[in-house]
Amino acid sequence: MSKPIIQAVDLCYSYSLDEGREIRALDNLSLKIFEGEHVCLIGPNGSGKSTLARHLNALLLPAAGEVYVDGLLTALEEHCWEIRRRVGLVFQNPDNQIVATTVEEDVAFGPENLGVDPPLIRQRVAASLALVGLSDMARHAPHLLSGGQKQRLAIAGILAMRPRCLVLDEPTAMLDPRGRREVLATMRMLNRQEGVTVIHITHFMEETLEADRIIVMDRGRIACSGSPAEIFGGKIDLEPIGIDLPVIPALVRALRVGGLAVPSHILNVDQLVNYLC
Amino acid sequence: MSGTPFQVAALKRVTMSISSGEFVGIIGETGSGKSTLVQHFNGLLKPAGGEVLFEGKNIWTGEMNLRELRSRVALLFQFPEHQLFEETVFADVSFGPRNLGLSGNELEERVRFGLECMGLDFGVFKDRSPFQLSGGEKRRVAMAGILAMRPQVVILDEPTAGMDPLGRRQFMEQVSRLHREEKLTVILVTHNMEEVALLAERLFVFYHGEMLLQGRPADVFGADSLIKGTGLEIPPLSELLQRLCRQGKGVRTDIFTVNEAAQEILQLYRKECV
Repeated sequence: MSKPIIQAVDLCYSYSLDEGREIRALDNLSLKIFEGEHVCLIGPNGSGKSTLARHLNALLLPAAGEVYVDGLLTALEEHCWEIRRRVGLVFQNPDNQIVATTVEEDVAFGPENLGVDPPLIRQRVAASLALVGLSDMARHAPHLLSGGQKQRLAIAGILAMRPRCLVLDEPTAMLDPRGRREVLATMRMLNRQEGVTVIHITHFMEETLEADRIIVMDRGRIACSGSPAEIFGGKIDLEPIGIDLPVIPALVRALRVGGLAVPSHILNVDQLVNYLC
Repeated sequence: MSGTPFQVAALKRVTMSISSGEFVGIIGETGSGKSTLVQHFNGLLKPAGGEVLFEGKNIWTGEMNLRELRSRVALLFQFPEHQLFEETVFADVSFGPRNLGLSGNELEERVRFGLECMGLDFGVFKDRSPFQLSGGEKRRVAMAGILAMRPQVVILDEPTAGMDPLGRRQFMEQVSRLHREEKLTVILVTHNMEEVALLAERLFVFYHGEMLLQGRPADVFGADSLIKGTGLEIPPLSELLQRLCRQGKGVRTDIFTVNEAAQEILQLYRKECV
């Protein structure tokens, strides 16, 4: 396998509440994510997913343990800008991530801050907008875009910095079905065609079925990790963690319990129709 | 943005009615007019044309007191936890009923009712700060504040957006129970097709400000439904059962739970074995 682009070693992080109490959000967590992987991070609220995401581009620094991005230690201040150029973070609410008054200016914001030459910025803005399918909207005001378009704009803004890795923290939580399809298709295309490593945090289990690997988090630790078929195929009991199976794997499990020998690696409607017919 | 080049008609000649005790779902893409529509139901917006009737009375002609209307038709906005503002859960939940003029034991009863409807223990939660609760708990406290007014109708605008699966399920189970046991009329606006197919008795589908379609979930998500052109999608179970049907397998397609779908498919294979 290729080399890890992200590596966390015995990572710990706590949030302090009032009265001196602390909540341990990450508890001795270690993981490796490899160049070109498409990883989904799932787990209930409070399991540490977003805290972990914020460690991956040095927005948060470990209380104990280390995080390396492309071999660079996040705790060293001199690495900070290089790390943020290589790992881009997209958040849940697109409205909070848009800074400029036109679409193309918004995409140019990142590379401008990195001191990229203006002619090169133009090229990158055009290329990034083309990748997410927003070229026609370059001169539009961002607030007139739909939710899915805004979220793709946020992704384009990150792409213009030419990151190697994209971390998306519930990017579809506020979108309608069409917006969700657009953003998922954009993520898949960037991963498969452009080779960008994608780390996708989500509460929608259906969105994880095409990932290379799913990492399940529970109380600041990694509960298990594996391919979608391994995670949802019935060998792992996800109920105590508070995770529901996606619909088709749940149906497959119910059919198996009922005595029909459906293979447990079936994950989607196509596969199940093919098997049953 | 009326009078500007960006003016759009958010709703176009919508005619619909909802009966007392119904659980209806309103679905449609972002910008299709769902939220604009439901804000007309309790008089937050005034129609530019047409009328809105509650129990047969036009809400804008003075036959109805708008204040009273809003206590009977309660609206839970998107991200209601942003509207929590008091120092304790009790104070927050009691805000609505206090404004209705209640006090003392009666007020406390209402707060207790609201919290317990949402599965929150009165003793445990009443003195806590709303800001130290989890996201799911905050949202249930916001809903408790609405229920404490004992409305006849609740309008929920994407009530579970951004919640984790467990939080979503717990929230909707409470709403569903209130509908069954308290005969609460529920109007649910959502992007979650699976959830709405399972819970709602009737669906209204909006597209570019018009009501394109209404009917039972089985019809709206049925094989020949117009829904496919609206940017929405049909739930995976419906898609599966419809495709099995097209392949000549005789299965029902009006099923929205995993267990029922499993029984239906198993039955088919038992028949084939015989």
